[in-house]
Amino acid sequence: MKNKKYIVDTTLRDGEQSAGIAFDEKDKVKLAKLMDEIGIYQIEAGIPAIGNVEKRALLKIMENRKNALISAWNRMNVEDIKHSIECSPDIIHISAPVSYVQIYSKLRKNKQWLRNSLMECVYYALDKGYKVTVGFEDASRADISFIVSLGVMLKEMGVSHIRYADTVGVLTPHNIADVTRTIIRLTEMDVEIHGHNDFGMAVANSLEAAKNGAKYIDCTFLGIGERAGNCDFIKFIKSSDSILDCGISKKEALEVQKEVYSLLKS
Amino acid sequence: MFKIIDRTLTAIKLEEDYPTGEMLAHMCKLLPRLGADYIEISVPVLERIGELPAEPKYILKVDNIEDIKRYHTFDMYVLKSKDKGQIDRVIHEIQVNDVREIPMLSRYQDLTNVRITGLDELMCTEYGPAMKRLKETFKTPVNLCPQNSYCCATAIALEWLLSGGKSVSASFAGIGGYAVLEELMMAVKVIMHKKINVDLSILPEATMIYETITKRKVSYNKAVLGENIFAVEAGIHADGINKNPLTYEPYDPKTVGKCRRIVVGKHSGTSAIKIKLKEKGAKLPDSLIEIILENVREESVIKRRSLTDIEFIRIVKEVVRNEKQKIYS
Repeated sequence: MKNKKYIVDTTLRDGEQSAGIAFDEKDKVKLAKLMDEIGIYQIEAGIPAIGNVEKRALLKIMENRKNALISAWNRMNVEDIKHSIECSPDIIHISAPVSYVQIYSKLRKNKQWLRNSLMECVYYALDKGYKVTVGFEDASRADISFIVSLGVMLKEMGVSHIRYADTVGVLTPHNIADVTRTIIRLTEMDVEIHGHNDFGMAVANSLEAAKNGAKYIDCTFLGIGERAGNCDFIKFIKSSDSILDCGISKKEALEVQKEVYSLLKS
Repeated sequence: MFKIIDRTLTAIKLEEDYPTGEMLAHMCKLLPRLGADYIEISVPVLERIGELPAEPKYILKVDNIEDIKRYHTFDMYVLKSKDKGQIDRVIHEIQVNDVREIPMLSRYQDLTNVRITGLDELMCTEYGPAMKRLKETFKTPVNLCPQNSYCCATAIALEWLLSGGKSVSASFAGIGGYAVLEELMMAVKVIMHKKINVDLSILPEATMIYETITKRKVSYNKAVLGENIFAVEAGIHADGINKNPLTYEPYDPKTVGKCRRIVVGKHSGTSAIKIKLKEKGAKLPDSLIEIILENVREESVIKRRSLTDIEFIRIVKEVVRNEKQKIYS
């Protein structure tokens, strides 16, 4: 029997975030509807903090939604989360940069500050009654013990699951297998894998993470995303078909891909 | 250290693309600089090029023993054959489509040079033990040529090398459905931290000649090669890269002959606007930056793309002009 896995589609967030792409409200609503219809488990629909265009799109997506869970992406700050709450999504996703280069060079803070800020944001969203997931940004270049300690803390707080992001695509299949097993074993949390394709290994890495226990797999149609993109939805579904059950028909997914392609070309 | 056999030239469709001998010879000169230890060519490629560039080491792919006798000056040949034969300079290419066939390869254990081609679905299995078994089957190092119908060929080739494999086959841009040469070499350099004698800054030149030969455009976001892979729009990415490029770049764009480029659009933040203004030699107060950002985002959504530099400058001029009018009116 094939292992059941769940696709988190981030075409409308990380996919759109790549340079050169901008969906309008109509595009987003249309694509989310199609994704919902083919049985995608979760749609990461956008970043409400961008502004009213994005908020209107999310509100409309929530209004049309039939089965898929709709999530809103947030930087690790309460103001971003307040914007998301205006859209009443199913899931508030909070992204926490966890590698040293992200914490010390980008945020110019330290690990204790990160831990406290993350706690504050998670508490805020949970307190408002939202299901919360946390993404460990640049996890593949971070200290695994730091990730595990944050995971244990988040589990205690009531976070649903954690996303392990290979933000700059530097993982190899055997590395991702090790870290996935380690995180699940030490945190007892469900793991979501978010791969990037900088070395052409996003599909292989996602597949290997799924084989080793990751329950959720992040994909984008046409593999669009920052730099060389994310794990390509169709390629992942096709490659994993013999061992995983993602509950998606390839034929129907190809129709969605055609629509994404047509919107990007128009 | 390991050896890379490049299969680019045998994967090019001569009868469809009609590349000239000069173009193919140009590619022969570039491939060793990209990490190819041997360039595999076919008899038709050899005939099209005429006199081969002197420096690279070549392997001739042949269909039969007669071809080896006819083109006898090559050091090595590739032949789809499972017979030991009389010539020891032959790499025996064996197609293995299913991992379950690996144990049956013991029938060919006496072959001295073997290339295993295929194994596309290796990543869907316990690939570690399968690779170990493959290595133990033969007395001499095996050349692995993973195929890419499961989109995992580069990863399989890299795992082969990481697990002690000594030889892999690949092709430029993955033409022919093989592991991708430039992805593999960058992974060896960046992920395996190996010092390798390659010059990947010539990749734009190699891409140009590849596109000319195949008449196919490399995708804008293709790993390592794509023209857009170092373009940055998202606010947090632009801000991070401005502080330290390592935050959102796995390697220096110059390594592969590229430059990073900040573009502005729907996902930009104030940092990207400031960086863009600095590029143009301008500095404006934060109050104006917020207005410019708002206008940039609005126009980007209307246009459903990032903005060009000309469009950005127009917005800046409009915002500054409006502000002056407010002050003097």
